[in-house]
Amino acid sequence: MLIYAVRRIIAAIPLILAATSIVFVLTSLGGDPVAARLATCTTCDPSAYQRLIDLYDLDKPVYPQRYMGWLTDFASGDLGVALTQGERPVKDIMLERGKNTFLIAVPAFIVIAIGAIIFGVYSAVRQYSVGDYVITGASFIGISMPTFFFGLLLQFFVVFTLQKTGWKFFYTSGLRLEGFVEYVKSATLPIITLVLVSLAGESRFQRAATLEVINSDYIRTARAKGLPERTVIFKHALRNALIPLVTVWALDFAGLLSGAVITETIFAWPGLGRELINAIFAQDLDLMMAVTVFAIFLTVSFNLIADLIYGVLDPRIRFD
Amino acid sequence: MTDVATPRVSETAAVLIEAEAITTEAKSWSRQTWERLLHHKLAVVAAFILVFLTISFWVVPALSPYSFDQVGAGVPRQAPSAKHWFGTDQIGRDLMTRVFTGGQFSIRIAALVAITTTVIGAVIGAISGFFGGWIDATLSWVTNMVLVIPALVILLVLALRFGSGPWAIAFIIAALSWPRISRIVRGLFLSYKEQDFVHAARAAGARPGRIMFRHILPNTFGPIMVETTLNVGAAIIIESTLSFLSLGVQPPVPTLGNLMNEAKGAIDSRAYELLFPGGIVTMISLCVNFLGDGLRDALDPTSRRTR
Amino acid sequence: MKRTNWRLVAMLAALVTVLAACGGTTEETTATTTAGTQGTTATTTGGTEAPTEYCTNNTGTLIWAHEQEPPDMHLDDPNNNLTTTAWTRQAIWDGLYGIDATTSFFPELLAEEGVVTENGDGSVTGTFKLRDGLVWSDGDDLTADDVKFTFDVIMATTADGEDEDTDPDFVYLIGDRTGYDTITDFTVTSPTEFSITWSAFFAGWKATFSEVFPSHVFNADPATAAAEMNEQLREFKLPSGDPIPSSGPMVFSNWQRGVQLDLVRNDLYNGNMSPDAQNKGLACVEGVTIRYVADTDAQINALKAGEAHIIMTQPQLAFGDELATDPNFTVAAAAGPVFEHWGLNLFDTHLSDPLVREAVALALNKAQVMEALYTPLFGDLLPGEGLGNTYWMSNQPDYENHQGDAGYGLGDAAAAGAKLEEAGYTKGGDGIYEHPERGRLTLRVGTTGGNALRELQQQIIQAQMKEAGIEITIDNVPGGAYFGERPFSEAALECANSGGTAGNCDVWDITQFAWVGGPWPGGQSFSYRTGSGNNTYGFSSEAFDARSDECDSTVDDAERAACYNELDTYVTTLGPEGNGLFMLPLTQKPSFFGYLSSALAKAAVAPDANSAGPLVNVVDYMFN
Repeated sequence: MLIYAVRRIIAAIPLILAATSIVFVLTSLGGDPVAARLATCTTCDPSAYQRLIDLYDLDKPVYPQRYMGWLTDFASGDLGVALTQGERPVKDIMLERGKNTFLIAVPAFIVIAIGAIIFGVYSAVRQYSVGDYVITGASFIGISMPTFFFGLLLQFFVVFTLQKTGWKFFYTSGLRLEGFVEYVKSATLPIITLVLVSLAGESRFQRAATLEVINSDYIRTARAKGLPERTVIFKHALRNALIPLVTVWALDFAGLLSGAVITETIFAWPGLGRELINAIFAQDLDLMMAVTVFAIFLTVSFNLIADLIYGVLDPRIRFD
Repeated sequence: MTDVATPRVSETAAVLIEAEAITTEAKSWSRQTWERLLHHKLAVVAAFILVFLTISFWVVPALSPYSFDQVGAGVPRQAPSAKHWFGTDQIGRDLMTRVFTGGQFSIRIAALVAITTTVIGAVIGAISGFFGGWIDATLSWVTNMVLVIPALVILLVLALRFGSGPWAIAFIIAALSWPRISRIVRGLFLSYKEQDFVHAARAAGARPGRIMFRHILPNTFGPIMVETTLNVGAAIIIESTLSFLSLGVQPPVPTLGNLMNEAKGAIDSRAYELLFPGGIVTMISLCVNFLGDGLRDALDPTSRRTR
Repeated sequence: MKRTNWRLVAMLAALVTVLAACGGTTEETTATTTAGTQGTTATTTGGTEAPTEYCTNNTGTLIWAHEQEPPDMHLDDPNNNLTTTAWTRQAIWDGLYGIDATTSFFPELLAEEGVVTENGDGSVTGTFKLRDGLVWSDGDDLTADDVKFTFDVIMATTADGEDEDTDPDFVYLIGDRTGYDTITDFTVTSPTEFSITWSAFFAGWKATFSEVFPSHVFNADPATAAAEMNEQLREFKLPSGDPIPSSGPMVFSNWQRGVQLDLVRNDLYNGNMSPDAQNKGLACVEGVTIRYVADTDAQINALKAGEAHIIMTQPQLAFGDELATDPNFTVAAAAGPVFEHWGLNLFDTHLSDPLVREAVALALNKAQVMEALYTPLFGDLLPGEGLGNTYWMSNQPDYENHQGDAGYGLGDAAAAGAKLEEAGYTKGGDGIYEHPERGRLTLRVGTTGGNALRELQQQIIQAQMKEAGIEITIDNVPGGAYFGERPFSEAALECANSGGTAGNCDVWDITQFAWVGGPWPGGQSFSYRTGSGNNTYGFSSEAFDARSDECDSTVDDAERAACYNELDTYVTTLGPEGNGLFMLPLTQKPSFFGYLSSALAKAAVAPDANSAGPLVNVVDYMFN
């Protein structure tokens, strides 16, 4: 298994390199930070131009020279500076915004993980019951609704409609860190939005996985043995039914941690997703690359972790 | 890198193969499928709604006394009334005409995305699964790479650079959506190529291209159709999301996403401006999902529903 | 706006930064001058009064939800020269002159108007006196030495071995040293008195020294101090961690990046001299929190939900019918020196023909744009016929409607058609004109995509042009990226500067964005001068350039005002040489300012003078 892990890690390196190359080239084609900033400013000191040109090696070809320059710096721990934030180190920004994203991603993930099990298993065990139909219907709507539509509706109903009744608790925008209550008031709506996005899909997935197990031969055997249904479900079926969810969890968690662009935009949450989109619009190359690499890295590594856990949980899988 | 998704997909594929590969008479199979689909009431209803909506996207603007870009067709910012069923927007354009014309553009974009995605995905998946070896390894690697790159980054960058026309947007979305279908098709081809009828064709001297397209491909239509259907729904959502970030199709072309973006400032007082296009997006996507689900069940007689 | 370099500000402000792109709106200069709508009528008697005279409540922190966060607080750095930074610094540092709501200068740190005399050799000397008893927020005196220090820092150079006269290596990051680089002598005669000699008269001199730096916290050597300031102004903190002392009503306190920036009351504030401010003493509120809410709609929501007390955004139609009618909110609008325009590319195949330009100008219906987009929001604040001048705005006394007088912008489709036919165009089957050589009359119009009001404006005009047989296609690029990609891209500027012989003249046809003027409209000339970096239109006229120099050096105010009007006819009409009419000003762009009147007892409802932002008279805000 260790060998498998090492092999996977080695295999992931060229993948990450290729993926970052593509993003780098595309983003560089996307526009020139000097043009975006100074093209209109001829009264500016020419040294300001030159400084930007030097900063990003803009006088060199995008690939491979500029990419290699970026990669060398990045690999040596120099993430560069953010032009949109007065040339602050990107590393500081990543830590700061990463922390903010973490504040909604982790609670959301916990709710999603637990919710998916409860809804998915319930729905499967009580297949075709009213509860199943309600859950299935709700998941379908959840899957079908654009995130931003849901976020806006949430703002509309929770904040404005409830506010008119005189009850006001949640904030529509921004992060508040003055104490736990303020945090809850500001983070709840974005967390609900994040939860909806993933919970619907995961519940459906969990329902299918559970059904597959419930209808499998060994569960039939267990039932045939006369074991109580409760024992069959919770002792025999559930363990196997949860295994496939690990992968989905890993991917969702990686996605949540790398920042939710839409949710963070609607609720003005200063996280990585928001920062990414700002960076893209402003051609802030180093910042954009740092967030992207972080996302790629998370996806790859969480996948690997999921595969390894999968192997541990499911003895049928062998790493060779 | 959703490696583990592949075995899951091939498991499904294997089930499908057991059921259908032996089928020699395509007609009776499709008739069976059709009948099974009809039994799936929700899917039938969904299909009807979809067809009805799609037709209305063309019919309503044609019948409307206003054109979608007619400034001052009515008093600006009017609530729904007999004259303007969906009300009017900020510069007095008739919202009903705009919403349905928007639906037209959205559905056209979505259809184009679905078709392009399917073609790219199916070809890559087919080649990958059929030839195996280094070709498969390379293509799978590329597929994985597209999957790990945060799609939104590429969408945003490409949309910023090339986007604005409806078709540019469609191709950008398609360029990032194909890996899923490609994996499914690859899995199917992997299994089919070891089936007897393929061996037989090969023994008869058929060339790889012929085997791929004449023998195997027709057998994969079912799952591909399901995926294509689902892709329509996904594309509608992605288009509206890009528009929400102001990167979608440029005005005055209305799309459902553009309309929602325009309406988002007024959710407090004129929520209907958001609810009409938003409701239609959700409705389309919902129907597509129901239909896709029904199709899947219908194509897979061993599915849970029939048990 | 308290900025020295008008051109740069004009540009950068107008050129918008991008951060808010997600929300579909980018920060734009929301410059305003009150058109007398809610101008305050306080008398100009200065002096520090006890806060209790105005303030009956001295508590509470004002929350301002704003869409754009400053990249950093170094306002002069050309990379960061954004309105949002200026708006924040507005409350921190005072200058020699401030700008009031009528877009006129008033002495701020000065005790009285400076006296400028001509020396006879072309040079002029100004003598100035500071108010008595000025102090920094840390208790140190603010003296004439601080003003001299400001000058020294801005002009400080390092020796780099090259010829210092022709190639000075400036240290302090500032985009434009105009008005400073012609200073030949700066003499401090007493702690409150000094004199400045300029080698030539500069019409915009009052805009210099819009901020005075505290010399006592920086190195005595100007070059070293300049380098220090380049660093320390970014976070607005001294190496000790203390905030840099302020001379304005607020002191910088804390900045939580991405979330908020906090200012606290300056208890040693010298008092507000602005004729607009009702409160002449300390601020009533204990501080200001600027909360960064990137999306305009989200800001409006924050205000409605009571999470913010004030917002100031670009005009959103949502404001008009929602906030304005709600008794919990007060919405104020003010027309300022920011104006929207359509700029025509003089090297475009079609537009190079003056007849085609006339056709576009004739087909344009400004009144319809006003009626659809601006009148619902601003009522009679703006003239219903739109704007017809790019130097003087409609609420300024010297305004003349040049385009209206020439018959342009009235939506005369028939006249437009006649011009096109005169130019050899014939109407095609679908109603769009065609030219035997130039082809179909299709013009691309671009703007910053995601800016809702502009996009609507664009669509209205698109419909007007269609009426006249001119096809308009929309070519927007989201956010600030638009400028660098289209009208101000390297290739486009090269085309404009080379007279159409180099670069790429086909990058754009028509551009729609806003320029920012000010109390000194001469800065606008920079956009039209031959070969200037702001002139992407391709206009080139020696007569204009020469006349523009004359205008700027005209000492008499009335003569100068008339001279600027003359300059405008070169650009908004075909002009004396028949090569103009590439600027189609549409309207002044009012700023929009909303506040939660249910929470605030008093507010600075005339937030602006010239892009000054809502903190310009921050002293006036008071909670219930």
